[in-house]
Amino acid sequence: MCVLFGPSPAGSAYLPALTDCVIMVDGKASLYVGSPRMVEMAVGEKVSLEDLGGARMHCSVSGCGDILAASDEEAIELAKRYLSFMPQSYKERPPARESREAEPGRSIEEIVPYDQRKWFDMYELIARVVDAGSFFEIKRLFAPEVITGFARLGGRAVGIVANQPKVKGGVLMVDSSDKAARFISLCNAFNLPLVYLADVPGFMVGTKVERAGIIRHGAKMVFATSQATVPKISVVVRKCYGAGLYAMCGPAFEPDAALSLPQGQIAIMGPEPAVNAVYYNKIMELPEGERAAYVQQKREEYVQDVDIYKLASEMLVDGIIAGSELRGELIKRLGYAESKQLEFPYDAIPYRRCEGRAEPPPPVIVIQ
Amino acid sequence: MSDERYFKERARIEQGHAKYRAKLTEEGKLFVRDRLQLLLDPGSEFQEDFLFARNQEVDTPADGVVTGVGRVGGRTVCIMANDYTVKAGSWGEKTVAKIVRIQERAQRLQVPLLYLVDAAGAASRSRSRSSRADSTPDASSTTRSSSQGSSPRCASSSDPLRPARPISPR
Repeated sequence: MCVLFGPSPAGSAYLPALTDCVIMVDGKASLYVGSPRMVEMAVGEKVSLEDLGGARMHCSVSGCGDILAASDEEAIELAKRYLSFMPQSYKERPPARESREAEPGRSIEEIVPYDQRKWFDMYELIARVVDAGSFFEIKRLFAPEVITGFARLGGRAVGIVANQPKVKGGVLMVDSSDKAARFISLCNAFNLPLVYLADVPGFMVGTKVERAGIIRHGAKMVFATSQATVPKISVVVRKCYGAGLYAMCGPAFEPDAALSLPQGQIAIMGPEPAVNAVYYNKIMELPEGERAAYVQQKREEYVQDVDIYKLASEMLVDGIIAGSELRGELIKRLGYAESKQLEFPYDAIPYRRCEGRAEPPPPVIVIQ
Repeated sequence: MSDERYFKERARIEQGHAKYRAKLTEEGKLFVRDRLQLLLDPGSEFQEDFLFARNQEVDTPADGVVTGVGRVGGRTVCIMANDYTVKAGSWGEKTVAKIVRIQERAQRLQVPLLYLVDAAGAASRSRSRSSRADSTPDASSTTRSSSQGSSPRCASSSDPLRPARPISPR
């Protein structure tokens, strides 16, 4: 981990970049490959140091910075808190603390509306779930449609990956996939169990994101999730559409538990686009006056079909849990998961131990 | 909408098939959840899996089996317990899937697995299927997990006339 108080240019810029967590002091820390003078000479661009490689830019745009600190003192305090969640090495478990009640406030039943079109603030839900004051966010300013951070649940350190429906409806973008992927790998490396809180309309669509490699970056998140062997609990908080649920460790990824709030809804897509996709021709054949009623009826049928109780009946989710029971259920499950033994298949056969490896061909030397 | 539907549904399922509770008392048997309460450490919380399995039909609460993790004598134990009020504890469509899942979970958690058996065998009216998870828990998964045998398993048959099926060669 690295606390950056001042500049770290050129070659030394890679030192922070190669750590797990970079804390940067706002207005003082900077990270750049080429200085503003060099940039002007090389590419003819006039830019200030702050805009080019300042702490705020890195913490909100490039993602090179993980946490923005207001002062040197705060940066040191943040470094201490980060360490408190970490074990001494990857061979150990993170130290537990005494359990603390969650912050009091509105109930989860009130926070998460049953109406799928209404948004809510995921931070409020997190506050009701984790030990009071324990949430330690990583990359708060970067790709805020996904929330990542450490927290304590009944004293145990965990990693939280949550969608934020308040920002862009919680849709997974290029940067948010990247952010989540790295965080999941970090937790897996240091034995922090993962809790996913999903309210996700899927991955973003469109030319812009396809060109930016949404599939490539989305795959990183899916990969990190499937490869993580720490205990994983996935909670369908509300809507979970399409491949979004894969990335959020849905039932198909064999999490240690896939739970859903009663507000949950799992489907390929929301009722509006689904009805439009399936019945488009039929809708168009109808006289205009009848269309609205037909669409409404089909949407209602669709909602019935993806009813969470139906999915629980089919054992697609392990359980439905009311918001008021969620914290207790997570603590219970994380406790019982402590003895989990699971190795990623490839961990069992380290590369160096593989036998019968072919000798590499001799290098070809061309003499001119 | 509120959580009301959830709590109502859960309460309905947790009481088993209400119609046959009285018969159970007549036979001098305990209800499955009362057995669990006696077994589990007081104050320790039982974490149940798949409570809502087959909730779409009225006569199959939890599909006749309670599975989950709890503490017995301070130790973590995976449990499978038949509910005799639901079709005499016979194996329905999801019963078998639930058994397989708790067997796998015990394996993954490296903890003992305890069967509280009170079952009339496979339910005759349940749709027969050929997939692993739906019809053959004992042939593959039980044999596999007990021969890999890292944790103890034990079966307690609640009805002497219907002894527990042997789970490993004795």
